[in-house]
Amino acid sequence: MKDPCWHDGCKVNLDRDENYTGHIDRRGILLMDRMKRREFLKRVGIGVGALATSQALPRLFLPGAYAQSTGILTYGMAGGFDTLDVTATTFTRVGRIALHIIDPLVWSTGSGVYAPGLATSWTVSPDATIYTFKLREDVRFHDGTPLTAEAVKVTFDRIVDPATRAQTAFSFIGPYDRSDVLDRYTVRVRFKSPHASFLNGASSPYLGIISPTAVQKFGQDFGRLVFVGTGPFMLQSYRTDAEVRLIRNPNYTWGAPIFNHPGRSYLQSIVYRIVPEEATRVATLETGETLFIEDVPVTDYQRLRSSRDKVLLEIRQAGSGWSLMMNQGRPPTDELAVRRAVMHAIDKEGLVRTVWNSVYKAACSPLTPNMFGFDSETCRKVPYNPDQARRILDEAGWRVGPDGVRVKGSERLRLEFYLQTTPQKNIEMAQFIQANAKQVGIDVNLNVLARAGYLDAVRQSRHNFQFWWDTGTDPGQMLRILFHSRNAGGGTNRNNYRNQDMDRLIEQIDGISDPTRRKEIIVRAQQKAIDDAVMVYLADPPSLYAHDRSVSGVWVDWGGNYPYFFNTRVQR
Amino acid sequence: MLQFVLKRLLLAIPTMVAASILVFLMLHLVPGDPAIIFFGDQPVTPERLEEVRRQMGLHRPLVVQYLDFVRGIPRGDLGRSIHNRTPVFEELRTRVGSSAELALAAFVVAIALGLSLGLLSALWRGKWVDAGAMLVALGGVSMPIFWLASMLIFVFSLKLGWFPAIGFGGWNRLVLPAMALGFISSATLARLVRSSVLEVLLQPFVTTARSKGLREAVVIRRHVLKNAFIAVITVMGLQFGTLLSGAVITETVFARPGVGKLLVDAISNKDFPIVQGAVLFIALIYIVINLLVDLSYAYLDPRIRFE
Repeated sequence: MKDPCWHDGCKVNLDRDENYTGHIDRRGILLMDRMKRREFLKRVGIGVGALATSQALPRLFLPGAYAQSTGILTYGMAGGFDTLDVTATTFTRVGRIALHIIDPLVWSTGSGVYAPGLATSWTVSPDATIYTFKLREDVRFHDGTPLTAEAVKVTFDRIVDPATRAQTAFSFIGPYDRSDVLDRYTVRVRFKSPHASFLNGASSPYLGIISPTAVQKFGQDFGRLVFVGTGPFMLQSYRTDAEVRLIRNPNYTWGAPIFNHPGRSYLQSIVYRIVPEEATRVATLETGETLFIEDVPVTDYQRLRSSRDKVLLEIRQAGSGWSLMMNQGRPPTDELAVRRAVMHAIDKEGLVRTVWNSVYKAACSPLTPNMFGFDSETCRKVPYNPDQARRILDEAGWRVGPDGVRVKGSERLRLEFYLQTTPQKNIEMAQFIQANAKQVGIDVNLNVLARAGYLDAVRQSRHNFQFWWDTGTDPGQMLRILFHSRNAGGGTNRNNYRNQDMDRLIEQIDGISDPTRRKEIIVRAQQKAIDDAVMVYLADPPSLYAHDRSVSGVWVDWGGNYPYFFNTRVQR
Repeated sequence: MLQFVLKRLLLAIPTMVAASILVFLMLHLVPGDPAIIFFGDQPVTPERLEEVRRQMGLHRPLVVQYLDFVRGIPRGDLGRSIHNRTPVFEELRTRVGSSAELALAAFVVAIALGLSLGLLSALWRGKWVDAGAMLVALGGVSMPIFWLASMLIFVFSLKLGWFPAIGFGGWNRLVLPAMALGFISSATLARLVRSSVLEVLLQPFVTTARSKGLREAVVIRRHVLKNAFIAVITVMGLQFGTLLSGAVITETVFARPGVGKLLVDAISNKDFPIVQGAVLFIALIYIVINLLVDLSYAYLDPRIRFE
């Protein structure tokens, strides 16, 4: 049969398509000709249409097309972190993940109330310097090695080893001396001075027990690439700033009695996706890309609370709410009258309404209301009263100058307020305080700085004001951070408040294990902090989480910081 | 030609050394002690602070710190982060892919949009097409990317459900971030293309080409575009560098890891090794891009020779 087209330049039709032609070149190779323009545009149109339809159709006919299969919980996390090693980190987020990979020695079920975890029983010496734990005998690490008293010793020794550079864990373990292995399953932990809050630390993820074999084997990579505990989930993969994947521990049979769940977890895996932008994070919950999110912005509070297919979890956060530190190491906040006037000048109710949409509550004390020993009397002690503030300043010799700012001799009543660029709410609160202070004749100058410059300034005591906010479940530890003179001069007590009576009270709190007596002293410390006008307590935040209605069985600790998914199911 | 390329690559070495010294000195001049930043708001004793400073190697003289860093480079060792002790090379490696993917996709969007808007408005100068295209470009120049990105999520993820809101981990997740980033940078490109094309259209050789009886399409393609592109390609090259290293906001809104975000975090933590490594990487990218841009001149304008 004669080939009709086997010469140079001959046109051929391909595929019976008249618009799609080719020709044979000199070498006898088939080359495609260009398509007619109109046809090209038509095809592009069809292509784009098809792509759009293919994306849109599943959405139209299969609601929740992005939703995951049952048994996988995707969690929208509000940011990245330094390291996955819970012993070394300073991030609460790492604690949230790690709580699933490790098991704590004890669980905290309420302020000062503890239940068995890896430890079945424990005793505390009357002076709170010696703790003896009896461990479960049926527990194995993810690497197959058994949990023994030696592992507890290795975990705690590693926290105080300078090479680990432990942070949160280091403050939880306090005046740690050493651990003695009494027998295979009994360990005695000793402290150099009384440490009544140790059980609180032991209930946190930061003191969770890690595998000594894995620590030895992986060295510097432990916590960076691998993390081996005894928990209901195992670390599957970690991609910095993107996601952490946990997978179910199939051998887990040692769930703590408080969860009433002897077997392994219901979820097959948990995927923590890091979504720093809050609007995007909320959007992922609505599209079904995540089923659980943390740090719900207050602007979405009402909407999510009244939503039919989402659940808003609101837990009062334990610790120390948003507050204002007033530096006594720098004039004019070294003057009691000025600090008292500031306390009366700030309209906390107005602040929580304006800045926090009334989702946060006006604060009274350095401790949040759900903390052990919180003193409700503190709410009555310093009412908002600008007239009172003006009177105090008048009496102290601060006269209103020509521009409305008070002066004493040649000194103007001007306060330097140092704050960081993020979060944005910081700046809003500072502006509110600035306006309040102006009404009583105090000029507040805002210095908004990046983290490095900010820390430099406040550690070197160049500030009059700075913000503070802290989470934690032990009142003694909170008060120590804020008011102990050992933390002044560049540490966390940036009030630079040095008072021997206060130091003594704080040390007593740590040395008494009797709850009634302990509570009494905590109350006295709070009252003293208010009498000495050390700080202004602004707003108590709740911990806000939201999840899809298909998610059930989420447990959150009473302090509001650690959502735990051992008993969680996803049902569609 | 080969000689030219080799010479340019050799010249890259002093450029990178200069960049690294500059960054190193600037980082040390800016206030802020990395050890203090490391502890942040955690309680710490002066002894622990000193210990961490020593572990970070900050007690050594600056010259020694710098030379140690330089010595590792030939071995591909850029040091370890002083904050979490991850090797810098690894930190970069895990993010470069994601950054490059976004930069490429956004670049394609930017070129497609920028070129077509610019051309349309230049060729229909003074008509409504011109006004429309320049209005779009003006929108792109003045619109904050943060807002555009959020709007894209609102419309295409929340309302239409066409694309996921998290822009990382799959091709369909790349669409929205690429559109946001590409649209913003297409605006500059469109305005530049318009002015370059208009300039060339007035040249005598265009009139000559037309008077020879060439079809308008050929005049535009062969004579106008080729000449107009010399300026455009330089800007395109620089924009690609910016897309690769400066997409911090897009990366944040769409929850993507990236080199830009790594660098910003490292600067605020004063994590010297990471900053140095990232800057070195970015400098290298710019050098390579500039080289490619220079080479493309030869193609566009045969008068340019590399001898």
